Amino acid sequence: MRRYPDKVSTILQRYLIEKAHPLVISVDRTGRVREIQGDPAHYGYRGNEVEPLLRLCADMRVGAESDRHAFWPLVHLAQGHHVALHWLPDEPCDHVVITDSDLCNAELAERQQTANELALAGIEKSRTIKELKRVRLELEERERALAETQAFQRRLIDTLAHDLRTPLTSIGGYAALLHPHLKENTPLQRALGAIQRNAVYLKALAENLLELARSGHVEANALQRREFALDELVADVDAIVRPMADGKDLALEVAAHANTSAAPCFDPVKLHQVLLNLLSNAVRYTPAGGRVEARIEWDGQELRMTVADTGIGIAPEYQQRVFEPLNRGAQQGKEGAGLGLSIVRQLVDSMGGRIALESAVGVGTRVEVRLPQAPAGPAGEPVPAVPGEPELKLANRRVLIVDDDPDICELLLWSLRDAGYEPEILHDPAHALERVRALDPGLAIIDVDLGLRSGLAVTQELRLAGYHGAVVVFSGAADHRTRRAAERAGADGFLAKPLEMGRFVDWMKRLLPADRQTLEDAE
Amino acid sequence: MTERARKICLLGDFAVGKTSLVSRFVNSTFSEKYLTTVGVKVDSKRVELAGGDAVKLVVWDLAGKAELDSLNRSYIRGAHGLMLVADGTRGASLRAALYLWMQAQKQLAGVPVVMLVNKLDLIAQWEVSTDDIARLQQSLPTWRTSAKAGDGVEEAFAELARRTAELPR
Ligand SMILES: Nc1nc2c(ncn2[C@@H]2O[C@H](COP(=O)(O)OP(=O)(O)OP(=O)(O)O)[C@@H](O)[C@H]2O)c(=O)[nH]1
Ligand SMILES: [Mg+2]
Repeated sequence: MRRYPDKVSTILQRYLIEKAHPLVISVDRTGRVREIQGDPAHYGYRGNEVEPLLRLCADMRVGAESDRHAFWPLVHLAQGHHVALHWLPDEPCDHVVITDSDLCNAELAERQQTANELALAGIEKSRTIKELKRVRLELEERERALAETQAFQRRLIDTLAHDLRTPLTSIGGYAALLHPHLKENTPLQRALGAIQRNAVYLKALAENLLELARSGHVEANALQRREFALDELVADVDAIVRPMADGKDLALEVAAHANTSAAPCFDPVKLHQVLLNLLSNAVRYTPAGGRVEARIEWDGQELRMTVADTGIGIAPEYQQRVFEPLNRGAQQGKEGAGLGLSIVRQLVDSMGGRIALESAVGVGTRVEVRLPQAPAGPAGEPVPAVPGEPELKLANRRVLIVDDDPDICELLLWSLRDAGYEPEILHDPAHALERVRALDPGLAIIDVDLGLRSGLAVTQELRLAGYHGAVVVFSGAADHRTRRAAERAGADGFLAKPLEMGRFVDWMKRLLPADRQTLEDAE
Repeated sequence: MTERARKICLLGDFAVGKTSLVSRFVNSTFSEKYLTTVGVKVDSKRVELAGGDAVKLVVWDLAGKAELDSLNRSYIRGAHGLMLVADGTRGASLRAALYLWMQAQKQLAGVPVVMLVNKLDLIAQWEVSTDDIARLQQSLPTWRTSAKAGDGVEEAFAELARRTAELPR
C-alpha cells in the first residue's frame, strides 16, 4: 500500500487519535501487561486498572479461533462506552486495541431507540384500536338485540297494560260500586267479596307480567331509590292481602321493626312488589286455618324481610325451579305459581340483595330476602357472579384455593365446606403445582391478582404440567381482555371480584359431584 | 485445568427482554426503563452444574432484530448455545424468534437451543396461548420466564449451561 506523505500522515494520525481515543494494551505470553498506550481513563478505567477489559476480551474469545485477529465492531462496555475491539496476536506480545465508537454511533443508537419505541407504540396502538373495534361491534350487536327486545317488550307492555289493566280496573270499580247496595253477610255479598279479592290477585299478576316484560328495559328497570316509612309499607301491603287471608280463614301478621332512627332508602315500588308477591304466594298455598307471617327488620345497613307460612311446602327438587319464570306446576300441582317468585328474584337481584328459601312439604315455607343499603349514587354495573353454562364437571370434591388474602380464603373455606366440599388453602402460588400433584383436586380456584405471579401464570403452569381438573379463576378486572386471557391460559371459568358469596355458593352446590348430591336430594 | 467456558447468544426481536433477562441472571436486577442494546454487550457468570462441576457462561446480549443482520451474524460465530427470546404479549416476536433460529442454524448447525417466552408477569396480556407453548415444547426446551419477577430465568440459563457443557469443545 502506498504510504501517505509524512506530513499528511502526521495530521491524520493526530486527528484520528483525537477522535477515536485508541487504547492499546500489550500483553505477554504469561498474561502480564507490558505496555499501555492511550488513556484508559477515557473508558472509565482508573489508574492503569485495565484488568476488566482484558477479562472481557478473554471472555469474548471463547469459541473463537485462538490465533487469529479477532474484531468486534460495536461492543457495549460495562461503563457505558461503545467501542470497536480488536485482538491482535503478535510477537512477543499480543495487543488489545479499542477505539471509541460513541461518536459515530451516538446517532445510530438514538435512531434505533426511537425506531424501536415507535414500533412498540404502534403495536400498542393497533392493539387498542382492535380492542375498540371489537367492543364497538359488540356494543352495536347488543344495541341491536336490545332494540329488538325493547320494541317487542313495548308492544307487549302496551297490550298488557290495555287488555289486562283496563278491564280489571273496571271489575274492581264496579264491585266497589255494588258493595254498599248489598246486605252484610249474605251469600251475594260474600260472592262479591270473592270477586274483589280475585280481581286484586289478578291485578298483582298483571303487574308481575309487566315487570317481567320491562326487565330488559333499561330505563324502566332502573332503581328509583328514596327514603320511605316502614309503617306505610306494612299498611299498604296488609290492606291488599288481608281480604284474601280473611277469605281463607288464615291468621295473618305483617309487622315491621327498626332498631335505628335512620329511614331506609330503597326503591319502594319494588319493595312493595316483593313483599306483596311473597305474601300472596304464601296465602295462596296455605290451607284454611293456617298462618302467614311477614316480618320486616331494618338495622340501618340491611333490610330483612321474612315471610313464613304453614302451607303445603315445596319439594326439594322444585326449590331451585320456583325462581325460574313460568315454572308451572313447581308448587305441588297448582297452576300459575311460576311468576311470583321469579319476579321476586329479579327484583331482589336488581336491588343487589339475596334471597333464601327453606321449605318442607306439608310443613310450610319460609322465604328470607336481605337487601343491603346501597350507598347513594347510581347503581353499579351488574357483573355476572358466576360463570354461565356449560357447567363444569368435577371429578371429586377436593378443592384447592390459591389466594393470598387470608380473609377471602377463610370465607371460601367455610362456605365450600358447608356446600359439601373438601377445600384446602394455599397462600403461596409458587407451590401450586406441588399441591395440585399431591392433592389432585377436582377444582382449583385461583386468584388472578396475586402480586407479581399472576394466577393466570399458575393456571398455565398447571395445564402445562398435565392437570386436567377444573380451574376457575377470579379477578377484580372483570373485563373481556382478562376473561379471554384466562381462557387462553386454560381456565374453565372466570369469576368477578368481589365474589357474590350467595350466588357463588349456590353455583358450587349445583356443581357438587353426584355421590354427595343424590344423598342430599334423597332427604 | 482451567474452567470450561461456553459462549451463548441471546437472539430475539427488539424489546422482548433479552437485556433484562441477562441482568436478572447476572446481577439479580430489573429495570422498567427500556434502553435498546446497540451492538453487543457481553457478560459472564459461573454456573454450577449437577455433580459438582461448573461452567463459565459467557453471555452475548445482541441488539434485537427480527432477522439476522451481518453484524449479529458475525457476533454469533463460534457460539456454543443459543437462547431464543420471545415476548408473550407479542405473538409476532415468537415467530421472529423461530425465524432467527432458522437463519442461525445455517451457521451453527446442531448447537443447543432453548426458547424463553418472557414477560410471564404480564400473562393477562399474552397473545401466546398455553397451546402455543405446549406445541413449542415438543420441538424446543421452552421456558416461560419473567425478567421482572424472576420466574424461570435461573432455570433456563442452567438448562442451556448444562446442554452446552456436554459439548466436546
Ligand atoms: N413486565 C415485564 N417487562 C419486561 C420483562 N422483561 C423486560 N421487560 C421490559 O421490556 C422492555 C424491553 O426490555 P429489554 O430487556 O431492554 O429488551 P431487549 O430484548 O434487550 O431489547 P433490545 O435490546 O432492543 O433488543 C423494558 O422496558 C423492560 O423493562 C418482564 O419479564 N416483564
Ligand atoms: Mg437489549
